[in-house]
Amino acid sequence: MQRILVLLIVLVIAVAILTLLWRWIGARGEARPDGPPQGRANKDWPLFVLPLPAAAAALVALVRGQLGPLLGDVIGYGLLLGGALLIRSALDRDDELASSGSGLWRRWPLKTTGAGLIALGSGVTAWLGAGHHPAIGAGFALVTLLGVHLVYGLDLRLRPPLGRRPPRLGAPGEESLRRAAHAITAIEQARRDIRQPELDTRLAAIAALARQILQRVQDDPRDLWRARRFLNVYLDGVQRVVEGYAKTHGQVAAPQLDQSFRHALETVEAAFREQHQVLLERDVEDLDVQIEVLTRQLEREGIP
Amino acid sequence: MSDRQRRLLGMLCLVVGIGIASSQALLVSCSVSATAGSVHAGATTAAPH
Repeated sequence: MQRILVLLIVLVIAVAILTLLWRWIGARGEARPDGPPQGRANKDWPLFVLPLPAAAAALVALVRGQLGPLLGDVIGYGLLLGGALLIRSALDRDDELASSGSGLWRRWPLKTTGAGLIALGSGVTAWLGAGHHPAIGAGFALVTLLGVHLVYGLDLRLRPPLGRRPPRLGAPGEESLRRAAHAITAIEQARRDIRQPELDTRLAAIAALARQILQRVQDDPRDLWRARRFLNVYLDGVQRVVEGYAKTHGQVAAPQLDQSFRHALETVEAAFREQHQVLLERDVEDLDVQIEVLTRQLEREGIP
Repeated sequence: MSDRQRRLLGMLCLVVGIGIASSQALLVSCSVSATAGSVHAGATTAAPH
């Protein structure tokens, strides 16, 4: 009876894993190369599904009154879940953390911490929950750490502390980027509230373009003045419109409003693409000038 | 190593590291025969020398 129960639980979890894996591989194969990046929801599901047997083990140990395995399974599952949540936060907020957020989170590598917790959880589960030797538990931890690194990557470089961060953008520039990052996050939140596939895709593309523009400004502060109108005016306007639509579309049936909103999103997406293209072209022009200057300098010095 | 191969290898490591450890913990929880109170009851009913 017990073995049948165990087999049933393992079978259910295995089917769930295989189904999600099949959908994940299919989604990756259909992704457009120039489309918006795959959402976080497609990437972090293994970290939440694979530890499920540990949760079931904790439940069984609790019911059967086994204190040792219960502690091992609870601690192991807690560490695994905590690490998975940190990895999810890192995948969600990687760009935002670069330009906003509290000082602590700007410096702390979330992915590395999450990977460490997951590895520790795996080791504790193998040692205390499954009863392996501690060295075997350490082996499980290392294999898990390698897996997290290969799938999600590790942020091994600590960002410079706030006090010593080079003042490339200045306070007003930092403030613009921080507000822009918050606006993009608000747009993404409103996108989840709207729940219409066509609008969801378009808003995801708009948010992705906005993040790319933000990243370009961070990489080259000279782009700040070129993108100032985008950062200070357009992005705020888009945030207000999207949030307003998210609040009202479910309560009032207004086909005319829906059509206007669709048209507005098309215009916004085109404008953001153009802004991104302008920044790229400026970078190409700058590089072209640098190449020209270098070539002339070499020619002046008689080097062919 | 291509990106796809790297991700597949990583996924395999995650399945081994997390999945197998969790599954073994579940098997251990289900197969250990001790239940609540049985060990304590066994100790109190053991005949003295």
